Amino acid sequence: MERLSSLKFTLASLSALMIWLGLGVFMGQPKLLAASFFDMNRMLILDWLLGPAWLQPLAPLWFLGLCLGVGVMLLNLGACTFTRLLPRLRAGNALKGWLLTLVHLVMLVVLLGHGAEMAMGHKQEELRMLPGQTVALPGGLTLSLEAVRFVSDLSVINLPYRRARWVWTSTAFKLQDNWARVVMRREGQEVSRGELRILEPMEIDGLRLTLAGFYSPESEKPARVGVRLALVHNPLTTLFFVAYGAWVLLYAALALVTWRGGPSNNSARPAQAMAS
Amino acid sequence: MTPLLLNYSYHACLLATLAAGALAWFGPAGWWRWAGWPVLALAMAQAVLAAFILNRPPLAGAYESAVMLLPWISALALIPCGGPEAHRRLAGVTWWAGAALMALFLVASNRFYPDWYMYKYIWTRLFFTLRLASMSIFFYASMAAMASLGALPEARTALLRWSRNFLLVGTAVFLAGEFSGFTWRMQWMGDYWCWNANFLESTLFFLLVTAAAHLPPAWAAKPRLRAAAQATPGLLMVALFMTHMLMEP
Repeated sequence: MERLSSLKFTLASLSALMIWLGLGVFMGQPKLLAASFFDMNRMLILDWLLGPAWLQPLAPLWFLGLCLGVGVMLLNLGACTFTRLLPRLRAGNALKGWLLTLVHLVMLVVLLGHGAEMAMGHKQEELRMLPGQTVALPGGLTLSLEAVRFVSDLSVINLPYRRARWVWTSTAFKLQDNWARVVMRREGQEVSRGELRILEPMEIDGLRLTLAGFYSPESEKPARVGVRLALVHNPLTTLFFVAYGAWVLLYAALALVTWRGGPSNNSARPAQAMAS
Repeated sequence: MTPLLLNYSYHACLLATLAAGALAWFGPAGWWRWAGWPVLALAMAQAVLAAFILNRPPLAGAYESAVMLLPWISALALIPCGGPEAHRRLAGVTWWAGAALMALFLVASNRFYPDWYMYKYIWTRLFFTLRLASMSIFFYASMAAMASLGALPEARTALLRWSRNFLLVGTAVFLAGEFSGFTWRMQWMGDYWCWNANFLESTLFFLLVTAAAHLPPAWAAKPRLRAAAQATPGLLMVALFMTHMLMEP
């Protein structure tokens, strides 16, 4: 336990994780595994792992390595909290001790919540639909796209993100003028209907429906405009955001208390105090 | 007219920052403190002029980022830190680093980014603004760590402590920026997380700062090693960010 909670172990696990993330940054380049990363974003991670992931085995192997690295770090975080931080609460600066402990504990909650989020609920990103199409959703729901209104320049509609940023200016693309009319039904009965706009998701039966963008299938003449939708349901999203917000506030409070704590006498103490 | 004014303020700011750095390092005691105010005024003038031209705050791209980084670090350089010796060293190093950052645009493109429709969204603005703010704070923390090298023991301790404090402040601001970015992505794309190089890099930066704060006591007692650990996150962040931005098509 002592070794598991040591700062050397912390540093080693953080370093390994950084190297692994660096590898991920490299592998995520368009000519390497960007397509696999794109698939990871489209669905829940478990569905991906049990499905298309193994078409390119390097991507799931990298992901499993990342999980292992995070697991080791969590082990260290937990051990450090329980063997070092909690016993120190009664000694020294109590407020700082509490804040330091809470920062570690909330980070644990954030990481566990983040991990669970990827495996729970329902997720469909990059769902492409053309007007008149209907798709089946979980819970007996169906989603129909009735109409699309796109009044901006059609010639640049399919530009990739980085190039689109230069063309889709606030004068060339008005959020309010471009929309998709959708209808959600359950067993033929209309549940909800509305105009969906970018940055204005709809909540229907706990399912968040988001309009991510517009596209035009290149094969179709005359050109038609479709939409890129995301359908996400996750019971932990609110909890994750609350925990993350609390983490930010705790960090800010820790910074303030550390600041007011006055000078430390030697160079070893501050790092120890800031760490665990 | 405004672009011309921006050009003048850029050159004036570059010279003032360079001169302030030289005064802090070589000038008579006390004088250098006053040199920081014109630097801050010119850096802010530059940011305001850029915002006036863009009709929004400078948010993304190499030049816009540098224009926003400079007011932050110029303001931070004015905060008294430890004793006069420590403050003088830190201000000198920070101003010179600021001058080097600005000098980059004597050769690199100083184009602005377009007015992407997303920049109107509050969470997008918050994300970019907080990211630049945190990067400035991490960069300043790096400067404090670097200024500790070769300093007298008292100043060295003060500078390393200063650097550590700003790493903590920077982390809080960085995480607030990530929170805004998560909210933006969730409203736009449906989920707050995305598997791509940008998200992984952000996580890597956070771990880098965390690692700097978790040095084993024996290592933390070595001032050079500790300075290197505390200087790395800010320097790497600014270097990688600027490289990314300058390589954008």
